[in-house]
Amino acid sequence: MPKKYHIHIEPAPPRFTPVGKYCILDLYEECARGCRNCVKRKCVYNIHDKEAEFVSHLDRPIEFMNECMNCLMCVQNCTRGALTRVVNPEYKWLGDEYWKPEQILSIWKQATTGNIPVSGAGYGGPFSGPGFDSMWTDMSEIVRPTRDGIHGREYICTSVDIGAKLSSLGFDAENNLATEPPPLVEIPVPFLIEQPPFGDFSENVFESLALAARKMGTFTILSAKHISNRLAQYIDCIVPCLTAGEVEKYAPLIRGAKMVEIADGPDVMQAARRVKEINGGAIAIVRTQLGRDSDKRASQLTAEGAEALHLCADSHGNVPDGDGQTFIKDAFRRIHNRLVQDALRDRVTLIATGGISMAEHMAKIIINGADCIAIGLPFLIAMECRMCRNCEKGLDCPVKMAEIPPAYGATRVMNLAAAWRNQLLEVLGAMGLREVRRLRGEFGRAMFREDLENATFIKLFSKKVS
Amino acid sequence: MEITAFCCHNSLYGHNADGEVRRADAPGIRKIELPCSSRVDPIHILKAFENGADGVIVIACPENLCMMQKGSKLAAKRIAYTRQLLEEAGVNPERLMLFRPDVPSALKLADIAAEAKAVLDRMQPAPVAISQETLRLKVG
Repeated sequence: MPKKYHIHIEPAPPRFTPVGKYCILDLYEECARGCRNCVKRKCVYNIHDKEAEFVSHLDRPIEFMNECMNCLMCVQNCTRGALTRVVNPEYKWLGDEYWKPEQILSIWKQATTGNIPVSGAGYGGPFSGPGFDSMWTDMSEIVRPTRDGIHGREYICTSVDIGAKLSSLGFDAENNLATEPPPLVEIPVPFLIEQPPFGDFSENVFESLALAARKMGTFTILSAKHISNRLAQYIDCIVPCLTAGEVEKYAPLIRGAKMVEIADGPDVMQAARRVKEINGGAIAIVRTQLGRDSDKRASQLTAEGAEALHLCADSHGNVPDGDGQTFIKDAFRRIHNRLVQDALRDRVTLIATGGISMAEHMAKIIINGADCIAIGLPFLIAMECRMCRNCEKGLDCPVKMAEIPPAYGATRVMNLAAAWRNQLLEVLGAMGLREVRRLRGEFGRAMFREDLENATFIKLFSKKVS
Repeated sequence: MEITAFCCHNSLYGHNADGEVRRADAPGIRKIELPCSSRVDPIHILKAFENGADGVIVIACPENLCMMQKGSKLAAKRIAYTRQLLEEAGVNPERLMLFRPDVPSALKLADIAAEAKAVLDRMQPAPVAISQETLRLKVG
């Protein structure tokens, strides 16, 4: 029996003290001093002792340990009320309006342990919101224990295929296959590693991503100009990204690669054909920014022979749509439906990038029509990025990202990938699905808030919810 | 001239500080934001000097406006105690300064830093910073 696919995890403690959320304000001047029941000694997580030990280290810069677990035992039980739990203001500054501090901390935790985040205290809401929060996924078969995502007896496959799929096969008179099938790359997880949109990049960072991709059996998409001699050893798991005019310049790289990405433009299909001439076994992916007419463009490119389309929104998942903007899931739904309508859907692989900040977003974008996802920013955050954007301002990186040891960086990336894959398995198991491929375009396995509100309220108020 | 500033978050941004505010910044100082000025311990201030700061400023709320009620008052006591420690160690205690500007004080941060620099300019560079060699010998 073939071995079950598994991403190896290893504890990878952070190199720098992470920004914590909660800390205890100790107004020790108020302490009774004679109290024999000091709550600080009874902390289940030993936070007070750890903090005292932490701050006493000579070789540490001025840092505050904010690892209080918010159980409030010491606050509640201190006889003089000398302890208060407060939120670290540095935590509030993390991220931005889309990449919330809670998500960043969760990614850090998953990258450190490789485990699924568990809060254990239920979920108090909100139950809807903008973006991916406006859709809910089917959980109807969660009571079926044999399809339990991680521990069930029935295997759930997370492999996806990248490349064009034929709609028919031809056989000769001797029943031998006469059709030349186009190249197809199967990856065991439904995601690729994408070059992050910003960061204090160096060969160490790229090698971390490439090493993680190799160990997981997937690929990492890197700009061709960043693929140095040191990174060329990973070319079998790197997808060089280049413009149509750079195909000849990077021909040696193309010869060694299994997939090549070309930025969209007037000559992109010509460049794709040239890539095929250089390396007939390589898959040419067209990279395009999502926009208002992306569905038409996707249909046009597929009809012209594109094997795979990498469709990108911005890091918040926003897609410009005329005067306003839409969200990546809605753009993908439109593109998928357009390709289905034009009888082209199976001829192309759709890869999604933008706004994927949690494991559940992978399932949701696949429901909306993506075949797989290219993830960049979460893996950068896994390598301890704080999204301070100092790198964009020419300032020093607080976590010295450029100096990250590649083996360590790869472990952090793999830990996050393992945690996300396990969560995806949970989602698929809850739906009773045994293949992530079957989730593609399955709109019936989700509920969309806009559709529900329109169905309910449009007859009352004659006003469509957008 | 290196200055480390321990800043109370509520003092900088006001007491409804969870809305959209622009992060306070003053060039040339190392700013550490804290939930309350009472989060600072003498050891943090001494560490700041060990790490090469010529001066340390603590920005706290006015006593009657502290969100933790007693935090600002206790911070002042700790600073007074730390000044004693500095004097015993042979460091000019005026290198440690406490400011209690009106809330919010984010826009005044640059002025506060300038005032601190003016005080420190009258002194020599702090004698306390531990060299990397000494640190290596101590830590091993």
